[in-house]
Amino acid sequence: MDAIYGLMHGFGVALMPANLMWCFVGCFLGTIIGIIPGLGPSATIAILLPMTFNMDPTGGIIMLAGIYYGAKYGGSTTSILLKMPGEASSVISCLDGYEMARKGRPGPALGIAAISSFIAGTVGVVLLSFLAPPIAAFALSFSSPEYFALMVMGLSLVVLLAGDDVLKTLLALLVGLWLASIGTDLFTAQARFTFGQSALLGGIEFMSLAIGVFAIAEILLSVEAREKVEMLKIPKGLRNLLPSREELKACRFAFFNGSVTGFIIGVLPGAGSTIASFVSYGIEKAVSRHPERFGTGVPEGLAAPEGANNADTGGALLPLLTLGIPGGSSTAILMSALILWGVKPGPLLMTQQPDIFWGLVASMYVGNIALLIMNLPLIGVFTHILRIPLYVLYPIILGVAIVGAYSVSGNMVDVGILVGFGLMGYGMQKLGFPTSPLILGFVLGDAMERALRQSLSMSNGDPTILVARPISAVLFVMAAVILLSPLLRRAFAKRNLAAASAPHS
Amino acid sequence: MMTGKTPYGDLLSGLFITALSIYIVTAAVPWGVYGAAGPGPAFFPLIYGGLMLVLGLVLLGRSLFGRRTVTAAGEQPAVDPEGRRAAMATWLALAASIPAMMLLGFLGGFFLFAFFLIKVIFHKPLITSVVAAVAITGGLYLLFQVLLDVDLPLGMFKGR
Repeated sequence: MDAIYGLMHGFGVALMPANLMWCFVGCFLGTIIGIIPGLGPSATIAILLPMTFNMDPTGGIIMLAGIYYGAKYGGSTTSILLKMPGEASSVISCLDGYEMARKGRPGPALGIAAISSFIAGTVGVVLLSFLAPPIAAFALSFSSPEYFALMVMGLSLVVLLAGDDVLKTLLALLVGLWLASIGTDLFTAQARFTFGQSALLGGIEFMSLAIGVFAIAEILLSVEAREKVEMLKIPKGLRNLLPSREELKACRFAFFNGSVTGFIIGVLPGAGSTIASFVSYGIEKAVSRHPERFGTGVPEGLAAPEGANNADTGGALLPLLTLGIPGGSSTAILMSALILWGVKPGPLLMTQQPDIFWGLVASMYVGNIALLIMNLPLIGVFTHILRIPLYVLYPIILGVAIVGAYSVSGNMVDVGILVGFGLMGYGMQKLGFPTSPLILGFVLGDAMERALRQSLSMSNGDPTILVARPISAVLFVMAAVILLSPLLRRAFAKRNLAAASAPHS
Repeated sequence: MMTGKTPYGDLLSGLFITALSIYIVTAAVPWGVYGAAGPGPAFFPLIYGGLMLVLGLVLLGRSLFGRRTVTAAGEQPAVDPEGRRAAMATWLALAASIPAMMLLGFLGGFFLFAFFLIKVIFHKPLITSVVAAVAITGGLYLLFQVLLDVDLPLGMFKGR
């Protein structure tokens, strides 16, 4: 079935009153729960998954997909207004989003996030609909060395971007890699770093780590500061939420960059929206005429990662729906839901169950419009959830955090791990260690190790395989340039300074 | 008067990281670095553990022998012992809520935690604290256990 006919069929399914309602309900619930700090798309989908068990598969997957991208939209709100990222992929949005809001532009910051999310989200769905075959073929040509090189490049960007102190950033990253190693080795079933605890054999739950390091640590810091960490005020009226013409002009490339980078990285299993947002931010900063202003509240520094975070949704669904391979934790939960309904995602889904495949794709066009409407004029309504007094809000967030950690495994050990990571995140912030590299190291650790070991197994231990293939070689060169760029910049600055201070002849 | 600020935080971090990396390396070695099937379970941990050891020592060295931050007296960031105590008390209460929930279930354990937070940390009146803690605990129970059917921690007496 060709894409146009498929989409026409899909819109017929998605615009049925019941499915349209599920799409709106999913977007609404996703935004509401995603707006709560610490609850990202994976947690939101996991928490709301039981609600869909008795639904028909088409309506159920449409609602879950709505929750998925609704939570992504919602996650940016807390990054901008509270500097509390809803999930790892919103971490980078704090840099310029919060600064922009702090400087008196919270409305336009939210507006840029919503507009960028809408544009990139829609571009992501268009690409999913029309460019699926060639992009999937390209991603399929990636083998372990390319994946390893891609992750090295992504982490190089993290080291460059995530903190002022490269040494501490690298150490945080390495601790993240160690945390990812805890559990059973996938190749040999060897228990690693479990301290003899059977509860650790399955590894550390991402939820416990992310919510602990971000949400709980943030609350502890707020309690210590005893400051009124009031949410930044949102101006009333749609006009005050719209960015200025200059801001939109500054974001032109960011919209494109976020859309394309987010989609391509979303297609690659394991890369995910976190790395998409970091890479798009890095690209934006690299091509900017004023990279030194990034982190001080430049609109393009918010638009690029927000766009990438949402374009990633279309990309991440591509390998899931066409190959049956989930690219990250959210799509893994979506896949488990499809399997529960007796639907097998894979190459035959499009032809054997077109209602589900094309209905879902078409519902994403509708969902993006619904989310733009919800996130522009109605953002004030959503953010009322954040206007609750701190003595009420903090116990609620901590309660949701406990439930989130507990609901993944039904084991109080995960709640204990969550509390431990809360203290660790607090300590890291007090000692000047950035926390996002820790999360990135943890998220990419498993995939990175698998790619490296598979590469070396493929080459019988010859490490040149990592640089012998053109794509991986290019990615490694990019990683080297990224890592050396601060030294090069410093050398250039020193030379320019020396030239400027030299006596004129 | 100028004072040299000793980076005790970096010193402690350096010591912790160095100790952790030594643990990683020594724990990993017996698992096998390379076998007939390719890299073993110790291969990757030895790479990042070794790198962590080197960088941990660099951090340690930097904190001991590196250039110290020199600040004018009175310009050092003010430490608020009361705020720090409040943060630590919050964390300890959160940690203590785990055995409390295992014993009393979510409703009992979380109510005690929420009450402590509101009454002791936020200094709210008794009635406000009780009402807010009951409302928050009940609200979470209603949302997750009743409406969303998400299981909450079960107490020793099989009650949530």
